[in-house]
Amino acid sequence: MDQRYIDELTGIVGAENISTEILELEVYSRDPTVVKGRAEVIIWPRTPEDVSEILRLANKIKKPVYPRGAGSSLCGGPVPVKPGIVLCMERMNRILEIDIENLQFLAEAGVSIREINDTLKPHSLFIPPDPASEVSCTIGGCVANNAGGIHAVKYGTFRDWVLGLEIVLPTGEIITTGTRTRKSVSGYDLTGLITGSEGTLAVITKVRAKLTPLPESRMVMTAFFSNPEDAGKASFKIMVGNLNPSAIELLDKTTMDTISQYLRMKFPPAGAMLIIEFDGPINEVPDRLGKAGSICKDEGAIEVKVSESEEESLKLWTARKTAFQSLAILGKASILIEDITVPISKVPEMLRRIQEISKKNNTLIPTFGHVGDGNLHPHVLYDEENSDEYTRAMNATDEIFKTAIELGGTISGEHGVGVLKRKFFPLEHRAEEIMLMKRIKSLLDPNNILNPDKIFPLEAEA
Amino acid sequence: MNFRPTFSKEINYELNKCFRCSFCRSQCPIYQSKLNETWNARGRMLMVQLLRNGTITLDDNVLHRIYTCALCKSCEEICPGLVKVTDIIRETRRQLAEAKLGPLPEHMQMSENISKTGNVLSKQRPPELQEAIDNLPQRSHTIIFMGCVAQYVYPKQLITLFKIMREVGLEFTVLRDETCCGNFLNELGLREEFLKALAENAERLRRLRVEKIITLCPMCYNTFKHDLPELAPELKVAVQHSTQFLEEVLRNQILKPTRPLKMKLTYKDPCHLGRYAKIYDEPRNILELIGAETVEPERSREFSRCCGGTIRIPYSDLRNSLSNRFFEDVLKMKVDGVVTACPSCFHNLYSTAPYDIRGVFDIVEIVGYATGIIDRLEELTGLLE
Ligand SMILES: Cc1cc2nc3c(=O)[nH]c(=O)nc-3n(C[C@H](O)[C@H](O)[C@H](O)COP(=O)(O)OP(=O)(O)OC[C@H]3O[C@@H](n4cnc5c(N)ncnc54)[C@H](O)[C@@H]3O)c2cc1C
Ligand code: SF4
Ligand code: SF4
Repeated sequence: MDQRYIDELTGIVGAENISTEILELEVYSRDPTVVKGRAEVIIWPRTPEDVSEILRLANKIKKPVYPRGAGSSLCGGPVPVKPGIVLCMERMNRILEIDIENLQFLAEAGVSIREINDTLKPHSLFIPPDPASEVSCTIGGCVANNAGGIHAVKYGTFRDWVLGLEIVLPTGEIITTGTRTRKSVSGYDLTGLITGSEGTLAVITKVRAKLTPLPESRMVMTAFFSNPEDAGKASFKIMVGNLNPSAIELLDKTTMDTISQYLRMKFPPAGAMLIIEFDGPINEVPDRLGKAGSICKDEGAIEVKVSESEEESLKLWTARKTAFQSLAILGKASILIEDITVPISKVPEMLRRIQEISKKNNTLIPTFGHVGDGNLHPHVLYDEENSDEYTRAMNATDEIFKTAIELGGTISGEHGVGVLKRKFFPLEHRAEEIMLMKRIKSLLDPNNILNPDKIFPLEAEA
Repeated sequence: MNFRPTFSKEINYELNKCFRCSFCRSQCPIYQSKLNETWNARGRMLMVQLLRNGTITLDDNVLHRIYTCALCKSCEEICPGLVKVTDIIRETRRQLAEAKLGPLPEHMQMSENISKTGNVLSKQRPPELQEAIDNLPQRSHTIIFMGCVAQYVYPKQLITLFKIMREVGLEFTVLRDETCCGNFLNELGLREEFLKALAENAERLRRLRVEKIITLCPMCYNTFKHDLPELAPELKVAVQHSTQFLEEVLRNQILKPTRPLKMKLTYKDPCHLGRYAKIYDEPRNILELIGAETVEPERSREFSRCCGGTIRIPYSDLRNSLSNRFFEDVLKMKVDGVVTACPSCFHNLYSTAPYDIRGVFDIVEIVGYATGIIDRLEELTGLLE
C-alpha cells in the first residue's frame, strides 16, 4: 500500500495504533482455519470516528477493509483474502452501560462475551448465547456472525438478544439502529440486517443487548446409546416433549474415543452419547431431568446418568469443548468443520446419512454438535498430501451439504459462510435471492471494500 | 538474522497442536497489556512455526516476543489444545542461546553475576542473616534452601522462617556456600549454565547427606522437585515449599496463633507456586488457620494474574503494566494488604505497589507475626498498633 495512505491512516489513529511489521501482518492474516490472507496494514481504531475516517479513506482509494474481533471465526471470516487493511476492534473494549432496570447493556464491539458475563455476575444477570469460544470471542464478532452455542436450543442466538447497534457504513456514515425498548415496529429492521452479515455490510462499533436473570439451578445428565441415530431420536422426543432443555449435545463414538484419550476420561462403551442440561427453578429441574431420562431409555439408551456435582458437570462441558481439539489424535492433517443444521425432526435421518456418507467415501467423519436445535458439526478428516483421500473428503463434504439442504436444512447454523462455505451457498439460495442480497451489499458498499469475497461464491466457484 | 529452530518430535507435536482458537487472549497478561495478538500465546506459537518453516527471519521484533513471554502458564490453563506453550518458548530460547543469538544482554549480565558471585544479584549476604546462619549447626539432614532474593534482599523472611523452625523444634541448617538454583537460567534458555548450577548444589546436598529441602522460593522448589531428580536420580531428597511445611505445623497445632490479625487480606498465587507446582490450598489454609480474614480475587488459583516479575529485566514498563493490572483488582477488594508466598513476587509487588495499597506481605512473616514469633510486620506500620 502506498506510503502516502499509510501516513494518512497513521494521522487518524496515531502511530501506536497502526502496524506494517511483517510478523503482525502474518499473524493478522489468519484465523483458526486453513484460509490465509495478505494483510497490508493492521489498524486499531479507538472510536467510531476513527472507524469512519478509516472507511472513508479506504472507500476513496478502493482498498479492502477486513473487520476483525478475536479472530476465532471457523470459516475464514476475518481473513484479508485480498491485500488490504485489517481493522482490529480489540482496543474498543469498554462496557459502557449496564442498565439493570431495563435489563440491558451497551458495550463496545471488542469486549469479550466472558468479560460481559463476568461483569454481570454480581447482578445475577447474563447474556445467554455462549459460543464455545466465549472466553475470547467479541460481542461485535458474535453479532456479525449471529453466533450461537450450546444454550441456543433454549435461548436462541445473538439475534434474539440484540436490541440495537452503532454501526459505521463502508462509506463512513455513523448510524445507530434499533431501540432501547423490548419491541418496536418502526421502520425496517436494520439491526436484523447487520446481525449475521459477517462484516460485509457495516462495521459494528457498539452493541446494545438484552439481559436475563441467571437461572436458579442447572443440572446435567448423560445418556449413552448404541448409535447416533437413536441418540438423535431421543433428542427430538425431548425437544417436542415440552421439557425446554437448556442444552442437548451429541458426541459420536469417534469423538468419545478421542476425548477419552485426550483428557484421560472414561465413558461407558457406546456408539454415541448425549449431554443434556436443564436450568430453571430448583423445584422444577429434577422433574424435567427425570422425564428426559425416561425418554432416553424409551429410545434405547444403554445407560443414563445424572451428574452428581457441579464439578462433574463442568468436566463434561470441558470434554465437549475439547471435542474439536481431541480429533488431533486421529493424526489427520486437515479438517473441514461443517456446521449444517436441519429441522429437528430430521436429525436422526441426517445422522444416519452422515454415517452412510462416511462409509461410502471411506472417510472419517467424527460428528458432534448442538443436536437439540438440529445443528451438527460433522468433521471431515483427510490428509491433503494424499490426493485420493482429498478427493474422497471433498465428495463427502459435498454430499453432506446436499443432504442437509435436501432435508430442508441450512449450510451454516452458527459459524457463518465466510470463505470456506461460499461455494456451497447456491445450494441453499436461489439465484434471485442471491441477487437481492448482492443488491443490498452494493447499496451499502458501492465499491465493495468491506470484507469482499466472503459469503457469495466467486465467479470461478459458482 | 539466520535462525531456523529445529524441534524434536515432541515439541513439534505441541507446536502443531495450536489451532489458533484465540482462547489464550483471555489469559495472557502480555496480550492484555498490549492488545496485539503477536504478544499473545497464539501469536507466539504462529511466530515459532513461521521461524521453523523459514517464512520469517529473526529480528528484534521476534526476539522481543520471545523474551517478553513471562512463562506464567496462564495460557496453558485455558488452552483447549493443551499446548505446552512454555516448553516451546523455553526450547526456542535454548536454541537461540546455543546459536549465541540470545538471551538479551541484560539477561547475560544476570548470568555473569551467578558465575562470578554465586548469586543473581551479585550482592553480599546481609550481616544479620550471616549471624543467624553462623548460629546454625554445621550438619543436618534437613536444609532450608534460601534462594537469592530472600537471602540478599529480604533476609527477614528467612530469619523468621529459622525462628519458626526452631520454635517447632525442627533441627535444620542451610548450605553455607549455597549458590543460585539456576531456575531462571533455564527459563532464559541457558540450559548448560543451568545444569552446571544445579550440579553444584547437587554436590553440596550429597556432601551433607541432605534428605529434605524446604524452600521459600517456588522457583527453587520446582528446580529441586522436578529437575534435580532428572540430573541426579540417586539423590533421594524430599522437597517441601515453606507453605506446605507451615500448613502442616499449624494444622497439627505444633505452631499456634497467639495474636489476632486485625486485617483483611488477599492471597496472591505466585505463577511458579500455583500453575507450576499446583500448590493452591496450603497458603489459603495457613491464612485460615491463623484466623486472617481473606478475600479471593476475581481471578485466583489457576487463573490468577501474573505480576510480571519474571520479565522485570529488561521489560520494566511492561512489568509495571502487569502489576498495575493486578493492583487494580486488589483495590476493588478493599483489603488491608496482599500476601504472597514467593520472594520474587513479593519483591515485584512491594516495589510497584501504588500508594493506596496498604500492605504487601510475605506469608512466612505473617505467620511469624500471628504466632508471636516476630513482633513487627515492617511492611505495614500503623495499622496493627
Ligand atoms: C474452538 C472454537 C469453538 C467455537 N464454538 C462456537 C460455537 O459454539 N458457536 C458459534 O456460533 N461459534 C463458535 N465458534 C466460532 C467463532 O468463535 C464465532 O463465530 C465468534 O462469534 C467469532 O467472534 P470473533 O470476535 O472471534 O470474530 P472474528 O472471528 O474476528 O470475526 C468473525 C466475523 O465477524 C466479522 N466481524 C468481527 N467483528 C466485527 C465488527 N465489530 N463489525 C463487523 N464485523 C465484524 C469479521 O469480519 C468476520 O467475518 C467457535 C470457534 C472456535 C475457535
Ligand atoms: S489457547 Fe492454545 S490452541 Fe488456542 S490459540 Fe492459544 S495456544 Fe493455540
Ligand atoms: S506463558 Fe504467560 S506470557 Fe507467555 S504466552 Fe502464556 S500467558 Fe502469555
